[in-house]
Amino acid sequence: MRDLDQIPRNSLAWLLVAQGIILAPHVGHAPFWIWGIWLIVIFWRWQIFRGAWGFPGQLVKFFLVGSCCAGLYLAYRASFGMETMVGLLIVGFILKLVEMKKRSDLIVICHLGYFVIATQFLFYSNLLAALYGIISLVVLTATLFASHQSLAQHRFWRTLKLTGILMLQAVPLMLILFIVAPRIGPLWAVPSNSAGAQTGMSDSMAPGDISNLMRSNELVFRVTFEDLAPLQSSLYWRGLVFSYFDGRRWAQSQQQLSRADVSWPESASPAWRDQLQYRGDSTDYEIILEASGQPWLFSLAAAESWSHDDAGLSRSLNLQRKRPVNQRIQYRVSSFLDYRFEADSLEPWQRRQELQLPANNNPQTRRIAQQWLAESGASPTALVQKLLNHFNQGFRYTLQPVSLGEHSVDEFLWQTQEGFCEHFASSFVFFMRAAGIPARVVVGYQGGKLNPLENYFVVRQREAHAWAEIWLEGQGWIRVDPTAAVAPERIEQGADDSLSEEDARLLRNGFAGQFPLFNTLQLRWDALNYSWSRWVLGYDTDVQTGILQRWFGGLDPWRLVLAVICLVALTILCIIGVMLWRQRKQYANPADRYYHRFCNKVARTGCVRRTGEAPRDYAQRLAIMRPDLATSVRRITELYEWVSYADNQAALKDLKEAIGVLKVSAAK
Amino acid sequence: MISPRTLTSSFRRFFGRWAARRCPKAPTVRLQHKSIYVLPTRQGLLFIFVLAVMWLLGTNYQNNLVLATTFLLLGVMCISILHTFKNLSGLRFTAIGCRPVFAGEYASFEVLVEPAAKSSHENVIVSFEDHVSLAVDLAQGSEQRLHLSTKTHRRGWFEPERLLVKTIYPLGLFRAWSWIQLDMKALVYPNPLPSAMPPVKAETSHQGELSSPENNEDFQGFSRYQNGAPLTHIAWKKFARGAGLYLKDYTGYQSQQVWLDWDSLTGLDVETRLSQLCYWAVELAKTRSEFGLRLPDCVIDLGSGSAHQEQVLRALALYGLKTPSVQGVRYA
Repeated sequence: MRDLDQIPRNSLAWLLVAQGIILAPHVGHAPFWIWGIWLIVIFWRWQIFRGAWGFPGQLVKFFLVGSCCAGLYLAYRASFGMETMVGLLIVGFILKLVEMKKRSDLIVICHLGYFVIATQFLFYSNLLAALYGIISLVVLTATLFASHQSLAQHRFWRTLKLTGILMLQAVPLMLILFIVAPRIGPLWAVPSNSAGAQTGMSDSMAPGDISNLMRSNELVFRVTFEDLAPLQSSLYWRGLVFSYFDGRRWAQSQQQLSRADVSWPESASPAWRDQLQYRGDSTDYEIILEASGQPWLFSLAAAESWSHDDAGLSRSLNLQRKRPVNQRIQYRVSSFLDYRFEADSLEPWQRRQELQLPANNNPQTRRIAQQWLAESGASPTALVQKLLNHFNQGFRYTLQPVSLGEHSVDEFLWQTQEGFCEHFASSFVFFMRAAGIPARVVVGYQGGKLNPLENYFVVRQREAHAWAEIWLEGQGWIRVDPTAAVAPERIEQGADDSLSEEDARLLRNGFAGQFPLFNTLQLRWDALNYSWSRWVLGYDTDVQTGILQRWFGGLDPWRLVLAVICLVALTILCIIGVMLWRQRKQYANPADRYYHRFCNKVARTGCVRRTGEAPRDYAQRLAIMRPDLATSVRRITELYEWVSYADNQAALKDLKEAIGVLKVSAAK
Repeated sequence: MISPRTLTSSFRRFFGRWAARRCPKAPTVRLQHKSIYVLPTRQGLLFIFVLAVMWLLGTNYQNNLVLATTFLLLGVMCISILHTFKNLSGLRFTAIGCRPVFAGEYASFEVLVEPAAKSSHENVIVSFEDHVSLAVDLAQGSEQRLHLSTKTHRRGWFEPERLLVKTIYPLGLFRAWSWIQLDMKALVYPNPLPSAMPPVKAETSHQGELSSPENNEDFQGFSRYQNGAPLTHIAWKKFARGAGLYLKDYTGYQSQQVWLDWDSLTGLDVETRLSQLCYWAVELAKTRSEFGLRLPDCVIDLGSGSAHQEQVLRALALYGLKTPSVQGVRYA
């Protein structure tokens, strides 16, 4: 006899292990003092287990909870965000440990633990995080399992194995629900994760920003083209457009920041969209964008339609979202690489915006710009060509340019003549504006690395790029990439091949790239992660609709409900079937099986074999009741005896045959 | 006005009768699907709530991994129903029996439990309703004998309440239970009630001089040793003097014949009479006296030994009872 509501000590050990595993992923964002409290609580629990200390009193509990809440308030004073919520949850999960007295308390902790496991996916959602989550779930379920086992029955591997079986059996149900359960949009606005990736493109550009970005190998997004991918040299992933220059830093103009002219899908399209003419064929692609903490989305110019409901096209032809991208999102875009925009005229405010230059700065460039414009006969095209030629003569493309002083454009164009794409783009736009040609800087990514395994492009931070756009009367906005004039291989083959040996060494991190095998593995791993993002994380209503349409031929609610019921019932029946099959009756002797069949057959006469009745006695009884069956019954009984007692294998066949042939009519 | 309490209790009674019909009384009961009931426990309901909140989290953050976790746990919950059910299904209970006890003592029923073919069972909790429960673990192919105690109150045949077999294994989210009625009963003797004088009628006693057995150790003299006499009764002092083996003679060891008589206890009610007779029957059996019993409806002749004692006590236990007395509610 034992107390049924006590906490078995094995499950306490399981719980501590599970807590460690569950809390580990939260080390990154939870305040550090939480771990101190956790250690104190574990120590306390250990003392309780030893019988040295008692359970905390009301006052101590109140103090612990109060100080933790105060600590969380101080840590997240700025905003009540997702981390605050998770922090509270973790505090509850930890403190409950010292309060736990009965088994039902332990079960409550396990339930809290399940919730904490779920929250870890708000911070990490790649393949490894998923595997880690599965481990946490198994260990926590094993804790729950162990608390319902007796100490005598509990053995580490056995408990783990039984838990594993339980969870494996649940997998089919999970898959069905995952595929079929409707995805409803957010029911209310939730505090978002401010701890999302913060590296990456910022909302302004100063010399050195992009070259810093290039040192990062971090994934920005992955693209799959529906049809043939365009040439590498035309993959200009447009992110942001900067029209405001303060002499050093390029940023968005007030008008661009205001989002007044953004064309949202739900509202009527603004007038400027009539000036955007798409030509040729569309290029359709799907982008899986990693969390950036910024609201802009990347696309090829000019986007015509996109699948993301939250996103809109700005007048600068870049896609942006209302909320920052705090977790990985997936969207499809249809772009026309050939387009004309605002070809006829610019409005006066636009002209002002695209010609804006800070006063009294870079005088040399301003002078030369005017001079060259006169030399090229006031033809903007000729001026562009002249400047690009200038770049082509003796400019150096390097990651480590000498730093520039106050008149950065002057120094770059006429003295140092070495720099990176932002220097080229920035000085080009400055020069054009100085010559009276509307121009602006575009930042984003250029190119991408093809993963041949899954046929998609990976765009990393090192593909960051800046280029220029100028406006020509009659032609509209035209992309000009001054970098291409200096280092055409940057555009044609990608960032890696364009750099000098020295720069390339700077970028190369660790031993990656030195071993071909490692490279292949990396490609495979990335391909796996891509499929994961695309099919699991990106499984949304659109994909679901497609799949369900294909499988069930429609999306009517009754079809879905029927499908779910059928599938769930099928799974459960399978499991019950296996359980029953394992418990099925087994015969020591094959003859017994046939004899049993015979007994069932003859029982129809109303003469049922009694328990423990010998075959011969039964035959005799049968012969008296049904003389018409006597001969065959006697023969079968004899054969049965031959097989069972004399091990006559030849008789087995006859027995089977005789029983098969036997015809029994019901009792008269 | 029907209060909710009476409503639930009448529902419970109704459910109890209904459940009893589905699992009639038998010497051996095998738990089958029709007599096993499964419902979520309080923890199970809490778990459903946790899953609902988790689903909201996944939906609001549009996080497929949170949703997948929710669905996996929902799947685990569904599957655990089967495991909880399987933990009871196929268990075989066989009544072995129960030693007779005196009224007011605990009757200990012995029950054999066997697992279903090719399966093991863990943490199956067996108890008479509202009594101390036993947790049973049964490995594949093993068996266990359980001793289940329940308090008796009155003499006669005692049939225990139905047996509650339940389990919340493996995750505590669901509780499977079954009520079984094993065909077993215990004989309950009257509660022995001491009295100063044995209920003996003077004229019926063959030895009027017999004092109460309290004096049965009175030394009376010596007699010759006979084979088989207990060593403690040998007069060792006499033997040491070389007088040979003699036995110290006590009254108690003299062959006496006592009739316990119902009629000698006048002025008492039936149960008190039986209790006093019971006390004396037990006391006399401790000595070696021959005793008989006279009840209004039966007479048991003089005799001694445990079989005789049992016969006497049984007659006392069942005196005046037409039908077996049943403790508590009768279900079938």
